[in-house]
Amino acid sequence: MSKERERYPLFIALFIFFLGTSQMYAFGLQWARGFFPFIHEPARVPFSWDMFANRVERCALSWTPAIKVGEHELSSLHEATTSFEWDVTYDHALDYRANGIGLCQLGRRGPTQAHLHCFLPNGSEFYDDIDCK
Amino acid sequence: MMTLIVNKFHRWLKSTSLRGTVDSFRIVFAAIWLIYDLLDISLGETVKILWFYRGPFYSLSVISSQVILIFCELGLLLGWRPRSLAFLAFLAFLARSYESCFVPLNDFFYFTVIALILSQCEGRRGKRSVGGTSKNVAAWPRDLLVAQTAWIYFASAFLKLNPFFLSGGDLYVRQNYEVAVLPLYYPEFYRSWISTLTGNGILAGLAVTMEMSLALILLSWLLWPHRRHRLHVLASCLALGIHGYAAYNLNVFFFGASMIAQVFFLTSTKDRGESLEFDHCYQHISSVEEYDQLGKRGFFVNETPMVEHPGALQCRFLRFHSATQELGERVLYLEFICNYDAEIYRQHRASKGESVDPHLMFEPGFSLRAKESLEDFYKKKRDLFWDEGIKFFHRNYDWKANPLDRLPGWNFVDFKKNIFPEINVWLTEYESVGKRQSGSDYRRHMNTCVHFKGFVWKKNDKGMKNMSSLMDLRFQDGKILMKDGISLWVTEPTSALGKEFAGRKAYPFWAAVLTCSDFHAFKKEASPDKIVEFEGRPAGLIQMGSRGWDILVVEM
Repeated sequence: MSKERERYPLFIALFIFFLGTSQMYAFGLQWARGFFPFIHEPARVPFSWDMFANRVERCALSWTPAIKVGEHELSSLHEATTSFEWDVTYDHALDYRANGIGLCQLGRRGPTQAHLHCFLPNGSEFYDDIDCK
Repeated sequence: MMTLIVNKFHRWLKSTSLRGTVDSFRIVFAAIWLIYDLLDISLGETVKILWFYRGPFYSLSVISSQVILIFCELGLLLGWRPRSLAFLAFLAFLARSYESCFVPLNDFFYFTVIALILSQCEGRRGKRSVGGTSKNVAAWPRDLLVAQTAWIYFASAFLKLNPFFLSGGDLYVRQNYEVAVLPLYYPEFYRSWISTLTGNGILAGLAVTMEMSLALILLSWLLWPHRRHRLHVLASCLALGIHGYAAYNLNVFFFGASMIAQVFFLTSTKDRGESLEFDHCYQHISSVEEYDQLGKRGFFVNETPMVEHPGALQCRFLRFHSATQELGERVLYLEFICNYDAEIYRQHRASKGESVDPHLMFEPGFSLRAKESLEDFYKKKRDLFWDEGIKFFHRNYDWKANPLDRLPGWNFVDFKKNIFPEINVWLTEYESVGKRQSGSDYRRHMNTCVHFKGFVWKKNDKGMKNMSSLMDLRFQDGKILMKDGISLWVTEPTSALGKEFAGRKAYPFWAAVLTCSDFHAFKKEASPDKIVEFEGRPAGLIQMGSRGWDILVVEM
């Protein structure tokens, strides 16, 4: 039997206690922030393992013509990252709208329109075309 | 109550498992996240994302933590100081999670927790353990990793029990967004399916059910060790289903791959059949002269008994190397038991509730050694061998002076009813390193016998089925090949080889098979009683009494 294994039981107990309580605290925080099964969705709390459980809205954001951000030309927000794994997203349609206008004002080279195609958790979708001013 | 919990906790800390599973997971885990970080840093993805979210961090600090991570992941991959580097990776990822607090990714939090637990797993260069191998390690880090995985799935499924997710709203938003921004090639029927809340609601219900089931299966894996093989298959299928779906439809690849690896490797039972190896076998001899005769045939024999067991049993040994080169340093032995007082032996057996029928009193024995905790092994097999009266017990090495206190000694698993008729099969675990090494005084045999090759038993269907279940190995072409290279042959009494033993032997344990380095020299030195054919080769047969097994020697 390896001597590596012969660590203090107290250390191991404390290690497991730390690991358990920190995650239990995060889980408890979800309840404190309003989560209740079948009634209210959870918030974003690190280490509570709330993957895909929070309420989100998503929009495909694009610009016509393409805007210039730094050295990059972007015709859509998604082009800012690769199409694999990484993506720039916001949780609310209003944030997409604000950033669509903000980036447009930062990088437009003439009259430009921002286009939003949003999906909402109530099963609806909407389109919005905004003139950048 | 408190004492009971503390004792149980201590026992859990002392339990061992085979090294391979956690090592495999660590390597795959490191490989997955190394690819992630190399891609991320070379494409500047995190830096870009932080810029978009207007994070108040310099890209240099993000890149620094990523470089540290890549270094740690390389170390974990190669098994170089894995514990220290896992802890460093935990710190680096914690820093990165802090930097990325504008992007609170569960993937990052997941990595920190797993890296932290991996920092408590024994490294690849652990010290050698009982039996000269370093294959067994503490089981608790692996159990903790499985428990952590179960908690992740449980918490994740439980938090999904909200109207927004269950209605299909979350999957509706995410999947339709992916369709809008990614060149995904969904079939038309699937596009139509995910365009409705009802369709997504069904998928959401399925997702929660699968995650919750996986959590419960992992919990069962921890609670019922003997069902682990089936649970492993179920858990792996569920993990593959959950994360395969998430990769295809939700653009989540690395976290999913890591979770699949975690479920697959940590619950793996690929070490089935590896947890047992041959330890020794014994026969009762009628007199010490029978053992001494072996000395005249070129075997190295001890003049005095080496060990005394309860019941007036004096034991003498012949030692050999194990069959494989890899385990060449492991020394195994044949044991010859001489009972110097039949009445004491009879009384001893009677006191233990064992049969005093002379035929059963002198049956030969076959011992296997557990490479993991024998108590854990016992728990796995308890239900399977319940009818055979399986039991676990301990005996101090110093049983004569102190039989009562729990001191270092042997742990045994044996069976009230023989699992192979007329052969006493049992399992042994030797506690405390170096205290009781059976091969400490191996000496060269003049007849050139060096290695163990295996054993020949008389065929018995029920016995074979039990041996197969015990060892988690199957008989193929009339033999089981153990992972330590030693074979157990079974043969019919009517076969050419069987006929050599059938008439003479009182028990179905017919022969121990050894290899010699020079068959010609062996013949000259040992003067075998007979030359027979074994596995298509000439073999020298040294005949023992009717109660014991013969010795069959072939050239290496």
